[in-house]
Amino acid sequence: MNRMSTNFKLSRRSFLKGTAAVAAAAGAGWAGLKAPGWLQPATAAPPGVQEKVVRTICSPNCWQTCNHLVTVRDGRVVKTAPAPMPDREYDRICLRGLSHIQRIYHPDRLKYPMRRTGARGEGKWERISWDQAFNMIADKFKELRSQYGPQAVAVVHQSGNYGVLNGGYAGAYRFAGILESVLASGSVDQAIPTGFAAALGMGIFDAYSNECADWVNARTIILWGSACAESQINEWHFIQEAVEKGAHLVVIDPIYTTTAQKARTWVNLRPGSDTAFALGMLNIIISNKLYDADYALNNTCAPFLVREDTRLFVREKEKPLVWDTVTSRAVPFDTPGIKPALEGDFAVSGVKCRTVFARLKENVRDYTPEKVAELTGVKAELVTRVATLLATNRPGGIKFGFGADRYHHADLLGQALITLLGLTGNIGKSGNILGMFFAGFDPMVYNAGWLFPAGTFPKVLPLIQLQDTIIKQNPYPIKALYITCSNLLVQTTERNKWLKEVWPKVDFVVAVDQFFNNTLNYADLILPAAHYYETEEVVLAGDVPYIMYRQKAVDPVGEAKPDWEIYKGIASRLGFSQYFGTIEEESAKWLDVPLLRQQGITYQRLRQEQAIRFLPKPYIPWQDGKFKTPTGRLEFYLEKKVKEGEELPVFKWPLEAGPDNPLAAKYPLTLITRHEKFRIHSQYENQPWLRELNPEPVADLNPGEAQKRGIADGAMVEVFNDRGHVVLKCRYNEAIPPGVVHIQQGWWYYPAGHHQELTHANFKANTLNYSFFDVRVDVKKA
Amino acid sequence: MAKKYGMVIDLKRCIGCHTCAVACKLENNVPMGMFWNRVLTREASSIDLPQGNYPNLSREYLPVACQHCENAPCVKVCPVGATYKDPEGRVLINYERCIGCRYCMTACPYNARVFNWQEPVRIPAHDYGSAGVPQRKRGIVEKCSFCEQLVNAGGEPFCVTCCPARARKFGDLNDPDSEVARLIRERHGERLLEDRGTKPQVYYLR
Ligand code: SF4
Ligand code: SF4
Ligand code: SF4
Ligand code: SF4
Repeated sequence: MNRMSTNFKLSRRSFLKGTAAVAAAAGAGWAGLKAPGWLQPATAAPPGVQEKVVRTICSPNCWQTCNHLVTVRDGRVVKTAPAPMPDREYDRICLRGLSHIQRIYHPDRLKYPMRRTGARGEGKWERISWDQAFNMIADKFKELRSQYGPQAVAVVHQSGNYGVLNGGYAGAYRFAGILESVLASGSVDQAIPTGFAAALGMGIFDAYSNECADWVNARTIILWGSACAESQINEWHFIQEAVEKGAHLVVIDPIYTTTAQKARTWVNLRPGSDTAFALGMLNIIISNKLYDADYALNNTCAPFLVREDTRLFVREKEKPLVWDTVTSRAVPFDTPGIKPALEGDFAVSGVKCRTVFARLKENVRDYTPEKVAELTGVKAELVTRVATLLATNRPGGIKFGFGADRYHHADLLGQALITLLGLTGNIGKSGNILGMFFAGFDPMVYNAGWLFPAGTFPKVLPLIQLQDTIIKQNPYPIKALYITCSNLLVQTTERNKWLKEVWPKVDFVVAVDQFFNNTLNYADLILPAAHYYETEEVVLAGDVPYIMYRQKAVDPVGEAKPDWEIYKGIASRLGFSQYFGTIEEESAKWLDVPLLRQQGITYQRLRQEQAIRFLPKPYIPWQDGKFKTPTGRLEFYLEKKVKEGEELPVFKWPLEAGPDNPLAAKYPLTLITRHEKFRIHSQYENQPWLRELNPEPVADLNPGEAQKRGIADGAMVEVFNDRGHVVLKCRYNEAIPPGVVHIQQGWWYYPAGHHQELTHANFKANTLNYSFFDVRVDVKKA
Repeated sequence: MAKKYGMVIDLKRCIGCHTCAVACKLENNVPMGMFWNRVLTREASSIDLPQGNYPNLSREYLPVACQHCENAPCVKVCPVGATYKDPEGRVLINYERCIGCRYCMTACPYNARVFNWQEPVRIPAHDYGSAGVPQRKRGIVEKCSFCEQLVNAGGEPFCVTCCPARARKFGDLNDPDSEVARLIRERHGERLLEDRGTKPQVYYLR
């Protein structure tokens, strides 16, 4: 019996509906594609064609940095294909990478510098030369610097390009450092990593996990708030291969994503309740004695004694003490020949204390499966199942995505996750996954000598504090913004505040990009940036273990320039040209760091080989059980958070999303704006092929929620709260739980308003992170 | 024995990402508004929508292009012999011969063919994809060729090369040692609408 044939309707109608191409095929609608003039007949293929294939790199912040083979025919890009990598399991491309020809030759591509002639946002522009543009910027910067000091200028960057010089990373740092300007960046994706990496003694985006190629050896994989099959498409096959070898895949996500669909166990918990589930797992692992006692005693802070009064470690000459059960006394944790106690109450010189493990046990005691079920809305049995899998079906790992990161206390989830991995001994072995594999920033961005050659530095400002800084003109008198690698008004919160309170305070907004996105519309001067294929440089690794070199495949379209050349043009007019050599010179200098030098990785070699492995193969950190913390142990007890009562993971409902939140009466829905496969953040938004598949923004609502409000499938709705609104079509979608409205993040334009009008910039001091999903709204017919 | 090209698509691996669909458009110079290769979502009115009620849900993707039927109805109905079965088991179209009668489209139970109702519209405006992809004009039918231009040069179809989930395999069904033959055997490959007697050369694993 062939079930497939009957279940899929193969009629023309369902085909077209199935691909959302119906409007396109019928020549009608083109919802979201604003300029029908794009549709021009193809030219005939020219005779006697010249063809070359160039190896280069796609590098938006999906962090998969795929190496592409680009075919150039008669000077134009005609094809992109995956390039062979040194380890073939890292050969990769995706639907977006395959659409680059549309991005490069897009009719809306920004080709020249332009100056605003009408009011901000009115859309009136005049073409100017690069010389005029550079002079305008230099004159304005000079004027502001002399009147208010160098911090009157703020360089603003996000993650639009992993290119070292042209991306927001090293290049922007040098530019801002030379200018001594403010450098506003970050504040995204950093709450869970803050809590997680602290225990390891690592930076938040360091290479702390086993590389993806090793994930195939996992027996339990927990994807926590990660829709990997959509947002990191090229990491998916490693997980799938583990599953084919028998791994149990758990997906923790309120939404029935494509990733959740692939899970053996789907934990559809309530938005923002993740840490409660993690504490429930810790409780099961501790009370059922499923932990790896050897690992906990020898490699983690579990036996360290904590004073009952100050809740700090009991120390002797800086060294935390443990209770030796052989001699019944407290000794430094690294004393040879001791048998430390894992649990117990002790007194050391009259001070009451107990072990970290005992404190943790007490902390999580109340998180019984039944209590967790109440908090998270999932079956109690799931807590036990997932905890038991992680502890007993080893090796295992937890890969976090940034779904759960977008809530106020997400750092506590990070703390809980690393504690889970530590107690279950799922660290340092083949098949372990420690949060996320990110090789990118490790050896490189920290080339501080290169970044700041003049000994002058930028004032680094977390992006989430930029709005208030400008409004208050404190602590910096910011009057000009230089925005690069960022669609700021689409990728940060409180859009109304930007436009109504921030923008009036700034005299001059320069924005560098490839399209008139929703940020450029509100700038005063816009500069056309080169595409990934239109320049050469070193590219940060992302989730592959290579140092990589991007080749230039074609000249920039129009007068577009690589970001580095733009920095250089401005800096030279301000008297700083000596710090902006050619891309070639600067790449070579930048690469000259000990980690690479020791491996014989030079600029010349890199240009030739283009992708060179710089991490051991396989990359499995922490095999020796030594961490980068002061004690060398996994320190999941964070003394620096004693004041907040967060030295161990605790559960706190987020700011808005909790079910009993006071706002819930007025705004019964929470807003989730997730990443889907059609874009990387706001990049590729206007790609015609991707729009054929995903034509326009929709508000996904569970049909029950929609019907309660009298909203029909396909009707226009307004999503609103006190901060703002957005108007768009409603789509009935059973994948979305009741109580949630979902909009794909990254859309530039809506019929009215914007989803970033609904979000807020409230942050937790230790994470400085945007809580994009910690937002309450309601929906009504528009 | 002569070759019989075929494809295997592992639906357990498939994540419905449409990479194959876009790869196909790029490689084969397919105009706007058309797909030779589409990724369907089972029983859904819009892509990615699941079946059932939250949280008791299921979802399945089905990538569909020409099935290169062994017993191809499109070949039989073509009045001018433009559609033919080639010696290596592919169903191909001689675009020079096609008169645009669209009998083949009616005959194909898989809706695998698309018609150029208007002058082909391309973004960008220049021809893209591999050299050697035949031109198609207004008024003719087109479809998947198993990337003839790549396979004849010793390569594989571009959708197979690009699939991030490694869900697609291509090879010779007549060679019992080929990966495709082995997968079909070991995992009981199924074909679409087997009751039609078309004998597709594309197999699905579930
Ligand atoms: S968008 Fe990301 S996954 Fe896709 S090709 Fe580019 S780097 Fe690779
Ligand atoms: S590219 Fe592969 S995984 Fe993606 S839809 Fe096509 S067959 Fe499925
Ligand atoms: S799928 Fe359709 S077009 Fe392809 S061979 Fe079969 S009948 Fe012909
Ligand atoms: S084999 Fe080639 S022509 Fe056929 S669907 Fe795949 S990419 Fe398209």
